Parts: sequence; structure tokens; C-alpha cells
Amino acid sequence: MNKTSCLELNDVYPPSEDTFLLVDAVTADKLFMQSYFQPFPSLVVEMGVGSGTVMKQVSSCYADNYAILYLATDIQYAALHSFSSGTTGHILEFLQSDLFTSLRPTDDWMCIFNPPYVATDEEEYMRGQTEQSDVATWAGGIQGRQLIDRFCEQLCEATANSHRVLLYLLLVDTNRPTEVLQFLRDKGNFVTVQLAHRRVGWESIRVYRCCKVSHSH
Amino acid sequence: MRLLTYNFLQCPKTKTFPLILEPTLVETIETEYNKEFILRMIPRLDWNLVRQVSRQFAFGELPQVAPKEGTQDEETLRLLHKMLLETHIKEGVLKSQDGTCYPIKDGIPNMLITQLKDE
Repeated sequence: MNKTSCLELNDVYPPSEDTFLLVDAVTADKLFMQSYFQPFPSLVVEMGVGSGTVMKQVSSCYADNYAILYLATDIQYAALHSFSSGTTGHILEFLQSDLFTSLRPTDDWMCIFNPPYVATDEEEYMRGQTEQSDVATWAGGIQGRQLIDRFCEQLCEATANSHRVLLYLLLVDTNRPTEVLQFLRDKGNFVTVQLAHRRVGWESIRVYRCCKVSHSH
Repeated sequence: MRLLTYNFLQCPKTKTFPLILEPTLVETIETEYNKEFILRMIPRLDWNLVRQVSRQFAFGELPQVAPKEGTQDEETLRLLHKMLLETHIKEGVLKSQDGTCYPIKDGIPNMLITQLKDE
């Protein structure tokens, strides 16, 4: 998958294969989600909401429950602004944020993350993180892992005292998923399961479910 | 940004909570009353901040203890709905104790530290 071709499209990166794989995996996992939260989380956060496709599909899949606060975050204002002007129905809120840094720790919530996973050099990654450009939607730095690693560290820290946290995470094989999952298991007490796998060109995309285990489960 | 969301935000730099909210444009948008939603949110909220917001936005004095599942206090739940879900901050700033300001633009708070120099 040649993500650089998308640079020609301005502002917001359009949905593609990875988005659809993530949507399919999360919606197909609804039964597990319901048994885990009995039956719904109070908060659903999507990190890097981009075009909003995942948030829209997931919230309509969970439409039988309206007692959920949806929080769409992105580092890019353009993404949030274009998404926010076209939504109604659910309680959906928007936040321009660098991952979890501006969210106080809470419990009983679900997170969805389709990270910028493309391997780039450090410079390109930093450009995505500091400028309001769509480089942020794909430039993942060394092994495509720089933001993923920051995300995992922050998640484990923010959920240190939480009992019920469910994460749907998309990774590609270049990111070395086994290392990422090992970290989440060791540092965050997450149980990890692969839900979906698709080969797109030379890259293998995978979706994982990671959930916090506490004594009550 | 709904006042509900304000309850979940901390300063990204110092990790202090709560931030100080200084609105310049507030809008009320009617939303269908959902008792279950309010009851589900209450345990996730910092009740002290909810009470403080209620005073700041002239919703009056809230009970010292947050209502629980099975409460008969419909009046408080309705008030919480009005305050937390129907009150939107369109423009304003969120201020940290160290003086850092995070602007709210068109209802979206900008909590990026790296963007601050550009504002």
C-alpha cells in the first residue's frame, strides 16, 4: 500500500483497507464487548479519528445503547472539524489532543486506535507530530513504531488502577506486533487476542483486542 | 465542548486536574433527555468539579453527594442533563494552574502543547 500517494489529497486522509478491516473486526466483536462491559462501556475513545469512518460505523453498531459518551480525538484540527460538522444522534465530543496526555485517568472505557504505522525516518515522524499536516496520519517513525510505543506507554500508565479497559489496536507486521503486545501484557496487564488479518500488497495488517483483566473477571 | 467533557480533561503538561474554564461563547443545544446516560456517567465524574461548574454557570447548588442508581431525585438528574449535555462551550480557554492556556475553537479544545506557540 503506497500511502504517500494520499498526500495529494488535502486535509483529511481518506479511509482505506486498514480502516475497513478495523471496522469489521470491532463490530464483529460486539458480543465479546458486551460480555466484558455488561453490557456497554460508559466511554468510547478513538485516538486519531481521521475521516471518522471507524467512529461512525462503531457507534451505529452500538446504536442499541445510547448511554455511551463517544470521544473523537485527533492531533489535526482539520480532521476533527470536518467530522464534527456532519454528525448527529450520539453524544459525540471532539478533542485535539496528543494521545492520552489531556485525559485524566478513568475506568470502564473502550479505546480504538489505528495508528500511523508506516515506517519512516525520525524527521518525517516529527513533522507529522508537530505540524498540522496529514503526514501525522501515516508517518510512524522507526519501524512505524514511535507513536505506537508512546501510545502503549501512556495507556499502561493511565490504566494502572483501572479494572475494565478494552482496546482495539491495528498493527502491521513491520511494527513487530509481538513486541507491542508483549509490552501491553507485561506493563499493563492486558490480555491480547488477534481478531483479524489481511494482506494488502506487501504489508500484513492485523487487528488485536487487548483487555484489562482484574479479579472480577 | 460539552461541560460533560470538561470533567475528563487534565493539563497535558502538568497533569493537573481540573483545568480552569473561561468561556467566551456558550450555546445551549437541546438534547433528548436520557436518564440512563446521566446515571451511567455520574460514577465517572469528579463530583466536586460538577458542583463547581453548577455554581459557575448559575445552575445553582447541587447536593453534596452525587445521586446514585435508583435515586428519586429526578430534579437533580434533569439539571445535570441540562448542564452537562446541553451546555456547549463554543469559544473560550482552558487554563492550567501554571498559567498555560488551551484554546477552545468552534467547540473543539486544543490540548496540544506543541501548537501553543502558533496561537
